Amino acid sequence: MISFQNISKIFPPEVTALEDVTLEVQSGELLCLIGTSGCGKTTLLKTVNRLIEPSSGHILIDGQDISRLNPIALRRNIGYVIQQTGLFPHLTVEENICYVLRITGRKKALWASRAEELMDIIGMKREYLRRFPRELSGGQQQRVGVAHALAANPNIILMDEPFGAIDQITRIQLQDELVKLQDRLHKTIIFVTHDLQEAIKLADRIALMNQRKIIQIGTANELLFFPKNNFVENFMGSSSFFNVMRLLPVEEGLVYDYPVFRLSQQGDLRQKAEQKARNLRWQEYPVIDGEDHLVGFFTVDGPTKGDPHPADVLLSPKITFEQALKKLFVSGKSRLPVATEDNKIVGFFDFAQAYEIIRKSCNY
Amino acid sequence: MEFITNVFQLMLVDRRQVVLSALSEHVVISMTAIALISAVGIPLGILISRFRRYAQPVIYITGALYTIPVLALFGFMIPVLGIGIRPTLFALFIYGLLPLVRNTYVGITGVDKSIVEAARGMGSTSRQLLLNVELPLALPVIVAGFRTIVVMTISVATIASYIGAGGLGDLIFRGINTYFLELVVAGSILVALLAIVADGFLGLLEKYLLKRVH
Ligand SMILES: Nc1ncnc2c1ncn2[C@@H]1O[C@H](COP(=O)(O)OP(=O)(O)OP(=O)(O)O)[C@@H](O)[C@H]1O
Ligand SMILES: [Mg+2]
Repeated sequence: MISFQNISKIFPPEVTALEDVTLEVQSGELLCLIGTSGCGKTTLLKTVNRLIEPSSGHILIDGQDISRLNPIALRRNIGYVIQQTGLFPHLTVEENICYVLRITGRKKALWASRAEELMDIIGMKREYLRRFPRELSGGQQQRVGVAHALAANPNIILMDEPFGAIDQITRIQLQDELVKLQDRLHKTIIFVTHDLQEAIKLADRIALMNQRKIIQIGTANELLFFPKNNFVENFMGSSSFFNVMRLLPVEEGLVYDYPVFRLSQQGDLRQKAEQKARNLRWQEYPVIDGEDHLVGFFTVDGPTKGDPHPADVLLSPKITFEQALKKLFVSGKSRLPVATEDNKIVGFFDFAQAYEIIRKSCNY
Repeated sequence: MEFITNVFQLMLVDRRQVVLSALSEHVVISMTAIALISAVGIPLGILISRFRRYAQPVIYITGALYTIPVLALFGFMIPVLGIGIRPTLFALFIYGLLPLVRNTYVGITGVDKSIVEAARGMGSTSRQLLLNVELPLALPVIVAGFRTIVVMTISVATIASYIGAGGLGDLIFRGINTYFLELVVAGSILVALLAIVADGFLGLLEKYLLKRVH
């Protein structure tokens, strides 16, 4: 865990870059630092590997005050990736990747195998090991930059706009790869970006900065749908239709009070369920077993004998409004059941209800 | 046409021995001076890149030395160091210092900031930073400075025969004093050739190094 305690930084004579920043980054978490240009993101990042010393405050890594550690030793245990790749032009890809091994005096015999391992991790062919950075594309260079940082297997990785200078398509690809990598390696990552979509995609939590301070920390959804103030709301585009559709989970807009017939129940209760469905103008209502598993549907005013017909489309509660609406439109129905993986019914994603929620979230 | 044949006749046959020994003297003087300049200039350039507040004064002083006219410098030195090889080396040393110190300093401080920062961020000690990153990347600029001093030393060493240092300058001055024009031209050709060959070779080296770091 990285814990920033009341960090301030004043560059002499009088540029204040950070003001009383307090923040905790959990182990295994990918935290995105985002904010307007010049708000202090890079400065905050560099206090972790002591490329910049704070003017006041403390930084603890796993409870240890880093100002008491040897900065060289500290840095060797922290991966560092920057936008301009930071690759050494006079060294081959292999020598670049193994730079940390070299300066920490690891045996040369180990380099080659570690380099190959890392190439596999970042998804590059091993034949690139003998090339020089200038012989790689921007995206490949940035991948090597990531391998660079992973070489000594550090727990913490600092990334300063690593994908900032890369074209949109490659950037998205690199983001996907980082997500996969992180799923596997569970590093503690601080990732600076000023691309909101990138932060939303990558971050476990986002710390939004403005003018030397952290304004709000939380998950993308917390910042989007519970912005602390107008700055957060505007920055996140909280009320933009695009964000609402792409990010609002379907769980936020379910109908929980719906007509239902439980199989263990007797005939008149089916009548009651059917009456409720009729009042709501539903054409069908769900049939569940004693443990809430969805068995199927009965049609209102349909045959009273026989089995319920099976549900053809089920929604997972984890999907977004966008995905849910798409499935709803494709199905041609007005509502779809939402059920967990083991088929327990959670509620209904209902068009009329979704309509209201989107309107409200977008401030229309 | 006959004149040129005479020059070569002189160089390669008649005065072969004299010409060769003058050439080798010239090479030895130049190489000694270049070695001295390098031994002091490169470390000094590195040093002021570490302690930047001394950079301006050091470059200023070596720059001031650089601007003293050759003959004036000899004039100052003869009373102190006498004549011969010692004052010659000293003069060549003083002239060569600035280009090498300056290029070493500029080469190191001109290394891309983000690369230096990456190297530091990964935990390089300042020694590792210098040896693994800064010097290799500064090398083309340092070699360019080296190239300047090599050419300059070869040519200034010619004048040094004036204070009795020997070398190809001897042929030229002797030729002038005795109206032996072929000898003047022979000495001049050799000095020019020496400078051109050294310059060409170092130019190629510089080009190769430049390609490696970009
Ligand atoms: N070495 C320095 N000396 C003086 N001022 C500095 C220094 N480094 C940064 N600053 C100032 O501190 C402030 C924060 O800089 P920082 O680089 O942390 O911003 P940032 O959030 O990373 O911006 P960007 O998104 O543009 O990279 C800026 O006003 C900047 O000018
Ligand atoms: Mg920055």
